[in-house]
Amino acid sequence: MSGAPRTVGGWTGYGFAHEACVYDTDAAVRARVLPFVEEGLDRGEPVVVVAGDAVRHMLDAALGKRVDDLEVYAPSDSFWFGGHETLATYYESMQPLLEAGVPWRLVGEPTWLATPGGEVWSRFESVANVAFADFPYYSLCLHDRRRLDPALVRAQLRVHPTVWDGHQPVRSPDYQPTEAYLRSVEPAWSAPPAEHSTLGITDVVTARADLRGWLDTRTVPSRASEVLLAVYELVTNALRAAGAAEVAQWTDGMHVVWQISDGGPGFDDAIAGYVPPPPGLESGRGLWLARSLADDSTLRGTAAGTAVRLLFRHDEVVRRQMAG
Amino acid sequence: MGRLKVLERAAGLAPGDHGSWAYDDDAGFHRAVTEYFAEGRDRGEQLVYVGNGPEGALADHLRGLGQRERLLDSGQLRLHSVQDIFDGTAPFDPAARAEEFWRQADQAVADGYPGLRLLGDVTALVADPAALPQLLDYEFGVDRLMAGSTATGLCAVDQRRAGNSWARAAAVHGIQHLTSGRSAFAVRLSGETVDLVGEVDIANTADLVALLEAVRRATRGPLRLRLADLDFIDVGGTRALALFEQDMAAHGRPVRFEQLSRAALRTLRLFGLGEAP
Repeated sequence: MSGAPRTVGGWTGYGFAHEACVYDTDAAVRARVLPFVEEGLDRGEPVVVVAGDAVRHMLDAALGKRVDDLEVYAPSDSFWFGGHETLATYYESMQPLLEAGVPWRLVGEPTWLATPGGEVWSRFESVANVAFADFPYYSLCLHDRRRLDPALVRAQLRVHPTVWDGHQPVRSPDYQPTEAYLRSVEPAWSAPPAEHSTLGITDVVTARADLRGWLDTRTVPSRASEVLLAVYELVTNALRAAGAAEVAQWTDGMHVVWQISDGGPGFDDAIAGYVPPPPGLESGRGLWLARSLADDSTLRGTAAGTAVRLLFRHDEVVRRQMAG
Repeated sequence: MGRLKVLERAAGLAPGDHGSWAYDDDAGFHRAVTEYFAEGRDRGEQLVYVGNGPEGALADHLRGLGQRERLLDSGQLRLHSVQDIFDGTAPFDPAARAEEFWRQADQAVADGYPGLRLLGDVTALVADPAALPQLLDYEFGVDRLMAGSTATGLCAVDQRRAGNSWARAAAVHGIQHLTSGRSAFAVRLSGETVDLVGEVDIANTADLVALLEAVRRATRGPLRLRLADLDFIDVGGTRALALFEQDMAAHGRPVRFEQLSRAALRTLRLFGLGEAP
């Protein structure tokens, strides 16, 4: 044994390591990725690669037939389904590796960061630090500075505990713990405006009919079914937790906001609803679904219980964006 | 199979229709029975009312029915007390009752009527936990043969006496009259194909579980579960489908989810169910 592998710093195969490699030349990304992949293959570790065309072409040329030994070898474009679904897809693809119980390596290049809506992925990178903390893999995330807005690169440096300094993985000076990062990018938790509508719900039998009648006059028309499902799931959570739910609705700039609150025991878990539901049928999925349907969301434990805010863009805003 | 049809009035029903009528006040129910049979009278159909109470009381339920005496005297309208048929001394036999239903339907045509129009008050069976599973089996057995037949059927349930089980009896019918704002769904069975239509949420998930159990009893082998006309299903309802699929698979009976509506697609994906996108 020669001690810790050279390309993964102090990672010994236990727990999750999460590195951002920001590069600006093809030579730089080759210098980081190729040894990382070759070392993994040499050690018999499963190696997963989800990357853009340039990185995969480089690996094709350098590895030759050895690309067939990669556990997964997929283009990044095939992996983007929005933040929630994409993290869930990663999670699902990891299940066989988790069951096998061996450490593995991942090269991930989230090229979707540069696409409309793709910036939300930084939140899920941050969530992975907590949700996958016990998973035995090293995730090397590639970011091409030539393609990404500087703000996106800065965000990546805040959500990866480790960065590549050109020679070795080092601690990221910009790293923020998950909860602090999420709170900094989620909608601010300001008081609702004085003018807002509320609906109290206590009857599980008529909950959805009550809600539908109320939402029909307030919803975002093109998203009506998504709004109903998302709000309804949180209402039923509240009814189970506290026996009563209150739904409030108001407009905040480009968004219509729905706040669902209850007087239950409450929790203030910033990553709740970001983490993919685990395998098995018993775990809750309502909050995850609600947050995935909304354009944005945030959650707070309050003195009274728990409150979740779901934000959906105005139809008019959506139309302008599509026309523009 | 088509969408769930919600009845406001006991009218507009035609041969091949098989509906349920939940009620919670007697006067309203008697008006519904009268309207139902008035439509059948105008069609010239054989009318059979299996109601709750002695025959004299049943006739009184129909006091607003025009030509009632002529219909009774001619035999076009027949009244039976449900207590005479289901007296509690023997278990309810789904196969025998279904056979009797179709015998009456055939007899009506043999007697020169264009078809049979029957209303049965099944409250006593719905209220009896031991009899309810057999009633569901019976309803599935009848429902799968109704389409294209000359018979029209309406099953009535008094919610006040049947308790929460009334919705389970209703859900075997693609046509339903409801008395509250609660959500409604129907499970229809055709061969080894099941259609789940309507809306499933926290208010009726337990009913869905009971109906899926009835489907399991009424079928053999693999199932196709079609969701084309499922207008809403929440996470809890989808979990019930996932548990059903898992349990059926464990018994060597795979369930294939097909024709997913947009609403169903969202939640079924959460459980890894359904067709590949």
